[in-house]
Amino acid sequence: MGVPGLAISRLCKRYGPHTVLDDVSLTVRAGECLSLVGPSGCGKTTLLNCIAGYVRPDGGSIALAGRPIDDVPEHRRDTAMVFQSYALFPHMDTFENVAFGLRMRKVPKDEIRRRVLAALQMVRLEGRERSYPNQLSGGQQQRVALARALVLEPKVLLLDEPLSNLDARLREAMRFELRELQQKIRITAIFVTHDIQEAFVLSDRVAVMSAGRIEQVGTAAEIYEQAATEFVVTFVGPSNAFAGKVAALANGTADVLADGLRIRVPRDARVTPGAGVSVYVRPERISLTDRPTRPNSFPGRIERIAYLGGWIDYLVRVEGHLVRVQTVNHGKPIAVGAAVRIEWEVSDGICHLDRQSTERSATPR
Amino acid sequence: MTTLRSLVTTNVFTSASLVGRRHDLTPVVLVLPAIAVLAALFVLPLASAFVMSFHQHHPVLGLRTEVFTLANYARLGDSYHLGVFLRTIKISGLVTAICLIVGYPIAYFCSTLPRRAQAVVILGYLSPWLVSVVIKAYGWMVLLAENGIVNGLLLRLGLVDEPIRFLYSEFAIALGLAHAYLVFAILPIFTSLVAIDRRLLQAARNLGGTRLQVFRSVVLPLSLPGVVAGTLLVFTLTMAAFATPALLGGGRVKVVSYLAYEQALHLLNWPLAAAIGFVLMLVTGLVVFSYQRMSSRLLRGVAG
Amino acid sequence: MSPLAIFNWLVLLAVLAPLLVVAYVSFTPSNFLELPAPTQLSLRWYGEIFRRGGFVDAFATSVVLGLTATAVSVTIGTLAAYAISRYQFPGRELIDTLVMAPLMVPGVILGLFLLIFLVNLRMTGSFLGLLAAHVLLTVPYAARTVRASLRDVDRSLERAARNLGAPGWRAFVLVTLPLIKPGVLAGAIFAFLMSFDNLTVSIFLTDRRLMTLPVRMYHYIVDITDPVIAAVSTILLVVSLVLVLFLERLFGLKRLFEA
Repeated sequence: MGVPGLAISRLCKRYGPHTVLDDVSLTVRAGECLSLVGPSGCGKTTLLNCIAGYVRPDGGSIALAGRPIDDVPEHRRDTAMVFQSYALFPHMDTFENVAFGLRMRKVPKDEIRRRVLAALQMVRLEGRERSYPNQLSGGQQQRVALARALVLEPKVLLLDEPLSNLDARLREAMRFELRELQQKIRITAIFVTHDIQEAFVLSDRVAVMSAGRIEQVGTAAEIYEQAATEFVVTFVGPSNAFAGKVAALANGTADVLADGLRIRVPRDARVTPGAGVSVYVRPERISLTDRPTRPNSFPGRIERIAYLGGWIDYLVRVEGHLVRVQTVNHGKPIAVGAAVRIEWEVSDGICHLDRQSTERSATPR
Repeated sequence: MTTLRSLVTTNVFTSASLVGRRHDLTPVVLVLPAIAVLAALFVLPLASAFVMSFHQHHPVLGLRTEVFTLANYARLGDSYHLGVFLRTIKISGLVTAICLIVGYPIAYFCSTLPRRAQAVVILGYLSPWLVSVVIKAYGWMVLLAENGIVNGLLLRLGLVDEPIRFLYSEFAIALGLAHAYLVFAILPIFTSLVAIDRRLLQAARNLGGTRLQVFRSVVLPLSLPGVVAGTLLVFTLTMAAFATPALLGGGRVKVVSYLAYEQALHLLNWPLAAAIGFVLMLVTGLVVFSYQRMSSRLLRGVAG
Repeated sequence: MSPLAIFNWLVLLAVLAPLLVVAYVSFTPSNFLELPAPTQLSLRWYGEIFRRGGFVDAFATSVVLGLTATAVSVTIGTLAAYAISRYQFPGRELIDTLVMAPLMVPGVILGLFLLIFLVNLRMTGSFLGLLAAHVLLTVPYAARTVRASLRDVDRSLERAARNLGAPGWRAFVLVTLPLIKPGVLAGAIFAFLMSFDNLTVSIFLTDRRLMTLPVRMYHYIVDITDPVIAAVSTILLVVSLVLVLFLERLFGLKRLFEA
């Protein structure tokens, strides 16, 4: 696959007693769009700022297109950034904003003109060269910010929550537009967001961060289906959790006893009989039936219904558990109090060792 | 060997550049002129004045820098100097109280005005601060002189038989100071009142509070930080005031700053003047410090 | 009208009264204060300004002093304010406090200390000594005003400029400075007013040959109270009113007190 677009190795950053980046390593392939996603304070923005050169890491190294950039000052780095606030210069018009970086690089005048106009065309802002930022809508400002970064043809494009200031409808449209643009020009991009869906739509791969560490890197499907840690499971979507102990191991599966339920899950290599585990099942993977058809099938009673329009959420009382089940709304909701069965495929269960047992067995993550 | 050498050099390079960037010299260069000015013109004079306050001013021999004595400070304990200090504190306390009592209702009134009117009224109260102390003092002299406008009115209305001597009294000084510094009580209170979330008042009213109850239980506590700030500002400013008390006290009713001025420029006793200066700062500092201790207890839960 | 409103207008009237009286007296023809109102107005005292000693010279000194001190302190103050608001460095808090410290010391004491200090350098009664003192007096105002407007400039703008390839100083010149220009100008006007108005420090550092306008007025008023001083005052009143209205337009006076 050649030289990676960006290679981060063992990056650390502390602010006083606070560890913001804890031994972070990450490789972004050339031409790939990678999302950094996590709750606020997880270190994703700090990581981005380290790449841009605003934050000096305490340890570790960053290489851009195969070359270390640790000692390159921020204005010499080839890392164009799109800011959350857009950071358009209010005293310059659109043309001057986009031309700024080219002027800093002493590009000849007519080439500046050509490239700026091309960049504006790329983001569909032809004819707005002489508008000032305060005369543009939020979406247009966003495009100017994007053009300003792209016009430099940077080795990596950094996007810091660029969509968070747009209203919900525009945000969804911009997701696809951004994705299309990135794929068209094949630019290496790092996209920071706290919205997992945005990350899924926009990027080739997603890196989920928490408390200064990267929890998991993978494609959207990998992250969602095979969440590597408890944090990732709950961060990427709602999920039912069953705490229990491993009762038996079979070929490729394990049986877990969780408060009256015997749940069959795909077998994790580290699981031993008697180990404490948590089983996670996503609400949309559970179906409601009246007859048992699969190994994981338990009787229960509907306790509450939430009508969401396209979907219906049921809370089903099963033994001591209250299980959330999400079904497509076919127009005939089941009544509260009705007896039902909940069922799911063995492969839809995600089984993780509890933290204590993980620590005791001292397996590396 | 070469490997070792390259290893060493890389290490030196990386660590050097790390140090170089961590101790970025830009801010130091930027603040250097300011530090130079402040060190040369503030810290040094402060230090040399401190040394001066231990020298002796001899009535015949003049300044004697070879003498080191506490006599200047000891002299401030005599009844005359002590009296001036007490008078200064008394006047400052009085003026502060007046400014708060008058300023609070005004700040409250301003906070209820529409924005444009607010600006105009505040500018009106700011106007004394915008003109020279000499002009203000002169204005009061014209008003309060024995042949001045106020006495003229009083005589004309038959309220008095002979003109009242307003000028060159503690009253005149207090009036002049209150006039000069009223706005410094109004502004912080006004700012804290404007900052109060209107929805809090609506909520309080909605919960059944009367206007007065809402004021006492919501508005007043939330504006206390402004009151505290205003108190400190007015008190320190009046303690430091020179021209107003000098002109309206006419050199007959003296305050500490006038004492320092007189010793320095009329009697040329710089050591004593310096000592007066340091004690004035110390006294002001002590009052401010104890007030802050007191008020921080009062403000707990409101500040922020 | 509510009692509160009546109270407010009465106090405002009392606050404005001494200033209005000064303006009024300056137009009276006689050389003592008279009541009831004089029958005709006169510009006699405005003419007298030029005949009585030293007012014009003192005015010129004050203007030159104020402009020079302002130029120096705005430059120094802007650089320091930028460093303090944009960088983390050891001693930052200390410098922040130190820049404001001259405001904490009573003017008389500051003047006295500067006098004692400048005597050692044989610089009393010199323009340079006076200028140094006024720079010290105005730096806090300049620094504070610029800092307040720096606070309003989105820091990601500077970051963006650097990200786009501008070294720190170019980012400052091309992006930050144009955006804080109103604040810098307001700081300059503010500093000038403070210098132009200063009496308590100047009085220690001036003598008969070198005198600023407020000092001249002070000495004049201590000796004589004729309406010449009222005429001078009225001119100053108008000048500072114009400057202040401009300041309010430019920056908003309220903000000067919030920093």
